[in-house]
Amino acid sequence: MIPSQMLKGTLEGCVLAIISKKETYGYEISRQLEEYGFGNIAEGTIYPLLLRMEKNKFVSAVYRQSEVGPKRKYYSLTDAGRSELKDFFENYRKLTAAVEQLSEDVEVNGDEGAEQKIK
Amino acid sequence: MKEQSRRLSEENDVLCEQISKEGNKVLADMVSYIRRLEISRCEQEKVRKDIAEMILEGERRGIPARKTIGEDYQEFCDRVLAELPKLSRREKTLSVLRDASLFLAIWILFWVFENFGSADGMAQVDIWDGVWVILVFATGYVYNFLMSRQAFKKYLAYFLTGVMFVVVLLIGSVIFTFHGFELFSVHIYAVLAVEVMLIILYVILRRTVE
Repeated sequence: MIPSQMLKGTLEGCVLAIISKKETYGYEISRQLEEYGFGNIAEGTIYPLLLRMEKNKFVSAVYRQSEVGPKRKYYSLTDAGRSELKDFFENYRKLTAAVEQLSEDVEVNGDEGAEQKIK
Repeated sequence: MKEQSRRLSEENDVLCEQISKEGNKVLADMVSYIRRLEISRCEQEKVRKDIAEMILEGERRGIPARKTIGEDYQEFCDRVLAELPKLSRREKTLSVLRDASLFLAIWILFWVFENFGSADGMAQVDIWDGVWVILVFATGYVYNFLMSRQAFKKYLAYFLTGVMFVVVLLIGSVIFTFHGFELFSVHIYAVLAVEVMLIILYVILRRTVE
């Protein structure tokens, strides 16, 4: 299970990525995140992110009837959302590359390796 | 906007009837917490609809509200509130004026029955009348504030509002014991004219704000 503090900064981008695949709704987003290995993330964790994305015009929402009864809010990506997602992946790759480099350095050379890098 | 709020409110009432008792309790607490002066009625109803549908869909899948929303309802609501558009200062002022005009319109009706008995149709307004009106109006606002902020700690909310009502009643008993300084005398026709103006003002402000 990924610690929630670690997830915080990346969850919004990941939700955008899920929505970019196809028009979807809260519960399905939560299930897909679980399938990708993010652990069990409650719909209540995702909803405020969706509100923010809607406010920032990264996603658009429409209500449709669902097969289980109540209407559902379906989200799809806008052009601004696509551009935001591209930025997210770019920044995430930079971050993972940096963390990976640091982790390899520490694992291979121990703490001294990381200290030398700083110098 | 007012029409949209009304329609959403009606739809939400129908939705709530389909939610379990436990789910409705959770929803009611969250809606109460989100009900704030700085959030428009329409936004409140939109969020209520989203959360109600979330809970209902979860229940249809056999998932309780606690699992759908997460363990910490207050944290969820705080995160939702952070994303909702806030009313401007002007809109907030107009909301308070709207509530004040409705409150005064109702108050005046009672005041008329209580004070107009004389043949000349005149009644006196003393300083305590003014103090009492402001105090009761403010109490209403503080009550709503407490019930909203303490929506997840009901016992604390009931305790604080209980203390507040006792204090207000004590102040009221002091006010009605003494005759205050007379501010002015007023004719019943003037009071009725004010009543009509307050009702018109309330209707206008309600349309403007909502």
